[in-house]
Amino acid sequence: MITIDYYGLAAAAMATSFLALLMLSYVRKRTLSVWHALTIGTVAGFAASMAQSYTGLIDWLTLGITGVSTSATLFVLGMGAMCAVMVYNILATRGKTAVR
Amino acid sequence: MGRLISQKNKSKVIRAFRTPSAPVVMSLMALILIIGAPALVSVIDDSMSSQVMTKISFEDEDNLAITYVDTSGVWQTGDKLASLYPSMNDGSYFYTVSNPADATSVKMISIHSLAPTEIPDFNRMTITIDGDQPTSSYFSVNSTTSSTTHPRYNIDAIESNPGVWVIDADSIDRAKLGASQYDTWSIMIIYDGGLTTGSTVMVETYTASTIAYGEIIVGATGVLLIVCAILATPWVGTTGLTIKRRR
Repeated sequence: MITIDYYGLAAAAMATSFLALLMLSYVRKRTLSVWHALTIGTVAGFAASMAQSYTGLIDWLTLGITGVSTSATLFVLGMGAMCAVMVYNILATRGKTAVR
Repeated sequence: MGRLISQKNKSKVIRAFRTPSAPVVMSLMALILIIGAPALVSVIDDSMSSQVMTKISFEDEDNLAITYVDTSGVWQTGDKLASLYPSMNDGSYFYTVSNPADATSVKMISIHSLAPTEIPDFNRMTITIDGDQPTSSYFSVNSTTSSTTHPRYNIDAIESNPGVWVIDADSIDRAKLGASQYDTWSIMIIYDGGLTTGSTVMVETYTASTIAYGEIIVGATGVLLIVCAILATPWVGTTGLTIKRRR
């Protein structure tokens, strides 16, 4: 039986992202800096941690959506607002930046 | 002499470490935030809270009594036990047997008729015994009106230090303590014949207030996300509103 190791998955996703960005940098002549690499690594680590304890996150989201906990509601509102603004900026700048 | 790193590769390395433009840096940070925040929240659970114990006042009722059960199981009252407890006191008692010959026949001392109205619901009770040390101790709640449907319920004390017995009430215990059917409370101190002279007992009660650090962290994360979302819009920046005026 195959056991899913989220950190292994995160490492694979990180390696794939590196490869994709590296290829993109050659094709579109865009600079791939150390900062991009660090961001990808950090995001992959956080994503793995989140996947590892996703039930806790679901609990908090449920508490927030149902309005049981004010703190959780603030978190849900914050996540929603941040995601909406980032998506809006990406669409408005045609993928150039997520924050303006 | 050949160089270890050619000029071309050197410029590539320098370029790789060069800080990207401000919008790119901000986008990278936003990406970390949008994944990092839920990752942080996902690991927060009930363990991230702290309980603070606060001492609550302890006052006895006027009809408080200290009696004992002898080793043959008979309740002894009257002048068999010499006890001292000021009326409406702060939880301190002294007891000894009137006749020293009766001392080794004491099985259990009972400080009873404590009224729930006088002692608020507690999360912790400490019974400090100075003198003859008991073999065990427990807190007992009893129903005088409906003893059949609500039988006697005991909460065991654990000796945390020599002479200090602690009762930590869990959720079920607290439900029983809070129930109106249980109208009489008592403290039972078991000697099993081990009493020789007498003992002084000090009873203290504490209530617990919980500081939910988990909720504070989740709420603070939410506020941070909202502030970042506002600053990430094209209309608001760290220097204030960035809306261009129409001419």
